[in-house]
Amino acid sequence: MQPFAFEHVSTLAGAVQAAAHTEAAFLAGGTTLIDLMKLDVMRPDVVIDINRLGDSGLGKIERNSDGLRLGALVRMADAAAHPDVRRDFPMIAQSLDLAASAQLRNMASLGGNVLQRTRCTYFRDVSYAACNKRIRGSGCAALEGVNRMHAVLGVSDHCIATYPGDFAQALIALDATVSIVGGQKARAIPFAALHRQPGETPDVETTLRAGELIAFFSVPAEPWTRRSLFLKVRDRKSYEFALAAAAVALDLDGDKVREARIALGGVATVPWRAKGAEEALRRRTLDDQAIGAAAEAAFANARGREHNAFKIELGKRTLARALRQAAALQI
Amino acid sequence: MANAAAPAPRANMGEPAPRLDARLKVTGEARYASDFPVSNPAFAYLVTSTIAKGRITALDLAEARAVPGVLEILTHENTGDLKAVAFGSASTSTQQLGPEIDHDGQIVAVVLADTFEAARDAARRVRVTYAAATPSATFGAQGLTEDDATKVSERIKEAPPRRRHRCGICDAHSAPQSDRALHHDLRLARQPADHL
Repeated sequence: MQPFAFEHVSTLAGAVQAAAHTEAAFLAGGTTLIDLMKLDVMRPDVVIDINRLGDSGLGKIERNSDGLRLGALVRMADAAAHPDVRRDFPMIAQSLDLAASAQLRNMASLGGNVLQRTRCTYFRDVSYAACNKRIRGSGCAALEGVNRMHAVLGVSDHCIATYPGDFAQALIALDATVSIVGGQKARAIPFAALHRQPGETPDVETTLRAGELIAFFSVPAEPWTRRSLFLKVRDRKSYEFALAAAAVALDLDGDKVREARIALGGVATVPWRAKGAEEALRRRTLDDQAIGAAAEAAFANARGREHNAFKIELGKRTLARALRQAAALQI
Repeated sequence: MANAAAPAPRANMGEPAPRLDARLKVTGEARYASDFPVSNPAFAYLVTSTIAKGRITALDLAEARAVPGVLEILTHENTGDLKAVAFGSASTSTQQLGPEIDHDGQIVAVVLADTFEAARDAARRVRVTYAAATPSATFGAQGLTEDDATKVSERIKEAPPRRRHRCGICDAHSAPQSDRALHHDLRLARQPADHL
């Protein structure tokens, strides 16, 4: 960890002004930032504590007629425990409940959670020189290294690091929007437009501009949001990242699928919406054949490496199980 | 003394010997080295090997030494052979600071400074160059041999008996050294954390 300047701010204007440095970082729960600073992976010159902004709208959970509004400074535990979230958006509550540990969920903010960095061991260990995400053009040690936890979707020859978050899968599956402040003017974008696939520039992970802050997430209430769940398959039952995860929501008419929403966790470089799988289910009877077709479509373009090719089959089965479980829910 | 809390041992278990330090530790009364306030201490931060096997070929300490507050940086270049420290009948293991590297995480430098932050900052500025060799640490690695599993219990019987150690009993009033003067006869040992 290198020496840094530390500031508290209590207004958004203060936060934006304090961030007018080349290497400034916002601090909320700190469960990603401080960790990476101790590892020298992130080296901000200025750390700006924005937790007091939670007293304003950024710390609120609102259920209104349109849907759900979640402030970026809401803690994961509070969102997961909120009765409206649990009843009307179970996929969101489960994606939060199954993540991290109780201690982390108490600390971590929703805004920080979606911006969390990959847990690729080569990214997190600065003694490995080859990491295009840390240093553009330096190579990728994971390609020929130990890559069991790495991604099979959205990969490039420059980076195969997995996006590790779960909550983001619920947001992308349910067509959430992100409200962003701090730039020239406040703006709102689809959550799907927040993250960027690695391509040739894995060091650029989001479309946020310098000094911008996520203010809140809006999730529309739709006919499929109640029949939803988050299924997480991993080596341990808790405090472990997904090997494969599926966020699914279904609007059923008997056993016919009116609408489906699917996102895949643990297998891709960014939050991953599986539109091909949704299309394979739309207006079809939800039987083994349709489920199989959806799973195949979801992983049609998957590329495995030496240690992670198993994720392709595991991911298909995880999606299939999630769909069956969602269909069996008593709503 | 019969120990009501422990089950009766079976043939492959040891004896449920009561620990003299048990009550102190579970009640939080046990005092560890860092519980004793020391006036004007120096702080040490370790630089550890990033390879598992090989040797150090170069050490560049210039940037690290320039960090304000750094007192000294100990490496294999300015220390002699490190000797094991005697702690009564307790066991100790030592490692050299190099140039040979025997495991990942082996201490290769000790940065001494007047604040923890300075020691840590200087430690990450120490530049170590290695010639890495291939470690042999997994099944199928080069140099591994296989033994007949049925012979294992015979080998254990032949092994020298473990010595029974006294639980750590030291003068409870002994304080760690507060003088910051550095002795050239440095002894580096790794000890499990035991209370004073």
